[in-house]
Amino acid sequence: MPAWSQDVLRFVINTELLAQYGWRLLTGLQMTAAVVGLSFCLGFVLAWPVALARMSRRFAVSRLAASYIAVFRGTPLLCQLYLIYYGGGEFRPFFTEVGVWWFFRDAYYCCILSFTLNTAAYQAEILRGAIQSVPKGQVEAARALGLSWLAIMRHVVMPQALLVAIRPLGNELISVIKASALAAIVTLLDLMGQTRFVFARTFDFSIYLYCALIYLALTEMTRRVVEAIEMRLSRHVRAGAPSITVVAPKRRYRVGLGGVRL
Amino acid sequence: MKTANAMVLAKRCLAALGVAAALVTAQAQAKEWKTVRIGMDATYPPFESVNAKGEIVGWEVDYATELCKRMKVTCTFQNQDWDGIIPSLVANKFDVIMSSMNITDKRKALVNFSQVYFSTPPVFVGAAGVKSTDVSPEALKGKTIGTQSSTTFANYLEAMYKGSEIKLYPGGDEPQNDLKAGRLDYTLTDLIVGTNFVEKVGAGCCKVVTEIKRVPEFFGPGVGAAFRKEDADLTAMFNKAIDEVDADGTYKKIADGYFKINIRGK
Repeated sequence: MPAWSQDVLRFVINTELLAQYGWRLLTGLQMTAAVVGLSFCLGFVLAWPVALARMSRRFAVSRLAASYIAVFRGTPLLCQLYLIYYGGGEFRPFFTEVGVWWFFRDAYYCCILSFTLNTAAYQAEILRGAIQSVPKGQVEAARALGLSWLAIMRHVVMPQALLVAIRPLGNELISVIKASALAAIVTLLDLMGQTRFVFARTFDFSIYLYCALIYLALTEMTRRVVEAIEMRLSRHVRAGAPSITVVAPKRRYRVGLGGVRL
Repeated sequence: MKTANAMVLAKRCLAALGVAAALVTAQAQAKEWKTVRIGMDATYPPFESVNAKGEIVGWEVDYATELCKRMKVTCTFQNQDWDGIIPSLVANKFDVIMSSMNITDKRKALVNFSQVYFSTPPVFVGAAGVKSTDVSPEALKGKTIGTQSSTTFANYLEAMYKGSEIKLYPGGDEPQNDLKAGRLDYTLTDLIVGTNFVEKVGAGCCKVVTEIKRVPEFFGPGVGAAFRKEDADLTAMFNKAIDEVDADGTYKKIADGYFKINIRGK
């Protein structure tokens, strides 16, 4: 066996490093999961009003939502994080006055805030697209039957729209997982932060390999779970229509999902 | 024991960089030095920082330029993140680190050092309202202390201040910013850097609380230039130039342009 192959092997399987610092990666993973989970869920909640405002017939409301989406999708997340974290520090007297400094003082909250605002913009566009993918005729028909707006949303639009939204939402979740590594820059000891910490101590590149593998496992798991959920929820679409009401959406979904799979 | 461990790390570090890097460094060893690339983390004014024009400036730049003049080589300066500065040197991204790097045993296992060219004590910088000068681990229990990661300061805080919350930043200027913003109660930094920062932001923000001793086991003898292990010839050239600049008073002249105190440390 040539000498370099042993070096490669030692790089890939570095038990000494894992034994000493493995727990740091695990606590980092915990922090990453907390940041991603919290900001993605909060972003989902915030995305609804933004998506609805974006579709509003009132010009001012829809422009406002469109600007929000444009700003947060059109600027780097790192820049947004810096604006909130270091920019927040500049306004300390003001924040102290209004009693929210405790929030901006903490790197964890700053991360949650900026990630939430960012993902909400992306999720709002996903939701809007999904809602608009439901044929107008169905809404009109439901209205003709005398259903209220809430009932139309709940029984006609949402079941179909959410099905369309699941896969892009899954992709967005994967984006957030990867983007969350930025938290390390503002001192948060997430998976990336812990990795940097260990590297700073040991100058051992293997740690970045293990970090990457954990991120890969995380995103791959997410992808599979989302796929399983989508498969389960779209059984009726794939199995063929039992009744007339599903025929129209069936063809649309094929088009929509086919597009994603390409 | 510590050194032995570090040796293993050094080997692995090199191994990870692969054969290509080894070939390049082998070439570097054979050549005669005409140009020398100096790497520094320019987040540490007044030693090194980036000015409005994007140039790296500071005392260490002026001093290095003087050394290069003596060695009759052309020097270029490269900005490099601190976390990766030793691996980058080993990977031949530049030839020397002159970036206020304290000489420690752990680093010595990875790189060669020149003789000490300056030595200053560490200081705790705190908010303007801090009254006591007691910075013992007991006194700072529960306080938030910030410093740059992979520095002697970070190692010292982690080993000694177990009861405090330690925040580590990639750059040398970021902990100062967060002290100013009120996210930190203290930062641990170099005397000159801390004083320079307090002078710039004003006494309303922060103050130098107190100097601490350079505990040798953590801080080493002082700051030196770092070289790849195989570049013993370059190390010798620098050592000679450092002596020359000392001897004819040029060191003092350059330092007096920047500092009120003597930083030479000998």
